[in-house]
Amino acid sequence: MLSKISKRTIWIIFISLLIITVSGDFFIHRHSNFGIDGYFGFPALFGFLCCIFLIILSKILGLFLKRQDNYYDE
Amino acid sequence: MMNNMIIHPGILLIICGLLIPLLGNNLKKFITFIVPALCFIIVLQLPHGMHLNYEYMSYNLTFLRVDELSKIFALVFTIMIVFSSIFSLNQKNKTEISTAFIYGGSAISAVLSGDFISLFIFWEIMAISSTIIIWMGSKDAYKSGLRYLTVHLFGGVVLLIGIIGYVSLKESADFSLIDRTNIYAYLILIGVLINAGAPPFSGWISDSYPSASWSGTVFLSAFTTKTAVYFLIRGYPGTELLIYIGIFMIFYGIVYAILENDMRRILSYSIINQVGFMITGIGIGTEIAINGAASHAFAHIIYKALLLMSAGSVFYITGKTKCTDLGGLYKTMPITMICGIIGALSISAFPFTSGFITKSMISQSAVYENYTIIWFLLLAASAGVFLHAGIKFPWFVFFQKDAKLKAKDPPKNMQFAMISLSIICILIGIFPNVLYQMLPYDVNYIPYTFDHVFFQLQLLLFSGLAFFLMLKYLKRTLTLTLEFDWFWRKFSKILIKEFDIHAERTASNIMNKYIKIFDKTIKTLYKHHGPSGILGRTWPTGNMAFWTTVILASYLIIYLL
Repeated sequence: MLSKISKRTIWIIFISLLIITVSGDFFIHRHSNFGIDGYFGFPALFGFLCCIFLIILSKILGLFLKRQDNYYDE
Repeated sequence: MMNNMIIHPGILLIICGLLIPLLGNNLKKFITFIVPALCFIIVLQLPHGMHLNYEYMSYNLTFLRVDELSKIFALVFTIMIVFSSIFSLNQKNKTEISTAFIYGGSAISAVLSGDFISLFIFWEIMAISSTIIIWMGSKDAYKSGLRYLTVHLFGGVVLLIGIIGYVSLKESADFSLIDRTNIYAYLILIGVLINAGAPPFSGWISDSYPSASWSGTVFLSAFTTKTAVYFLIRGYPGTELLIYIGIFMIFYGIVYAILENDMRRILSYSIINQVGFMITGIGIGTEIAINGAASHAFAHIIYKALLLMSAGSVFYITGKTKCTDLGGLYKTMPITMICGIIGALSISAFPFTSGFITKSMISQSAVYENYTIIWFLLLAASAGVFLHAGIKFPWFVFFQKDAKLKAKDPPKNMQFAMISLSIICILIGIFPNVLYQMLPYDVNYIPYTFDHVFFQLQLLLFSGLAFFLMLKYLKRTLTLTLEFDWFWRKFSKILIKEFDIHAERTASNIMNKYIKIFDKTIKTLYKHHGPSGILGRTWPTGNMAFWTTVILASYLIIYLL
């Protein structure tokens, strides 16, 4: 298990990376292919929401489709 | 096979594969090193054009059709064999490496074939040899190998029917762009899609690959699905149906990988997902899309082999494959961890890795063709790939909790194979032109713009944020997830059981009825013809004379009347 302190440092580094990549949108003019994707922070928000959605979707499907892992054994 | 000093690299590999079981240990190791490297050099130097042509039953067979498309696939297949052979040197089972040579050799031969007939032959050799590789694996490998073989033989039969129809319709066995105005073209398509792992036949990948040995899975990951991708690029570019099949496979792979517990099965689902990207590109079918699909196949084979080597090393050292049993290996297996992470970043298309410069071509082709929804779906899928393979695999295997497993990095040859493939992944990412030069069409695409790099970084890093925020919902459980193959693994059994009882009852009812009739007939016969029956008795001669007289007398009377 990563120790408490190093865990915190990793989070701090990670979050500052997130901030840097989003703030890149201030300096770089991203061209847009379909309008909406040119907005500030679009890829960040889109990626984040898609992943949340995919996890929830999998969870719901899992409720129906998950079985014990010896399900097929006789 | 030689002809004007041209050696067929695939057939050379097949022959060496057949010889390996006869050789001693040292010679075997030598051949495992040298022959794949030799094949790589041969493929590199193959001159463009049609070679090794033979006439067979009025059809023209071409064993070597060398152009950009077949060459890039043959090249990556040989690279794959080179490093996987080095990786698998510690495998004690001799049959596996020899079968892997036959398998890889027939895959190379299949992509180099210029006609349907020779292609089909190599296609079937692949099916059989890969089944044997699966059987070399764990205890339950036998059953899943049989299921694998059944699916592939079924696909092979559909393909064969299509090919026979198509070849007799066109009166030529040449394999090039397929004319889609007849039913046979669609039968061929179905046969090929089964090999590509398209629904409803996706289950065979995640069912069979993880039951092979730690080294067998590495070999298996490369050839079957990618030969199918090659076939689709050659025969069916621009078939719109493929876009939707591809998109389905992409999300199918992601969702099932998120739910999965076994690390090698997670990676198998991500094969379905990645082949989905390629098939979508083939469906779009423009020059840049085909370039994207071909280059993505190239990059994918390498980083997928790398990921499975990393997983294979963990399995080889710890003997465990389930995320619930693994964790904390970053301390004891640092090299395996770093190589695994490089593979994971490549599959996620992280900037400066191979996936970044190939997958983005497919997305870009959707932009050019104005497939708005497809573009957004591909974008969502890129985020999803990072989620299910990019972070999930390294996190649950190397970090998460400390599973207190005794482990160390694998032997030097396995490390060498992993490190080499990691370097290739990064080199392709940094110098995309090396790969771009080999593609079927001229490349007019620049992957590295600030714009694009920042876009991708934002997308991926925030996907990572989502992963860690939702971590408690991603906790692994000792479960499997039902797939389409449930229909033939479970439902067919239930069906048989259900109808078994009824069929038995009906059959016995019918039998009882007929047995009664039969009994009755026998009894009646016995009554009249048995020892005491009226027709069975012996009659005195006087009686007979009397009755004969009566009959003759009545005859006389009737005559006189």
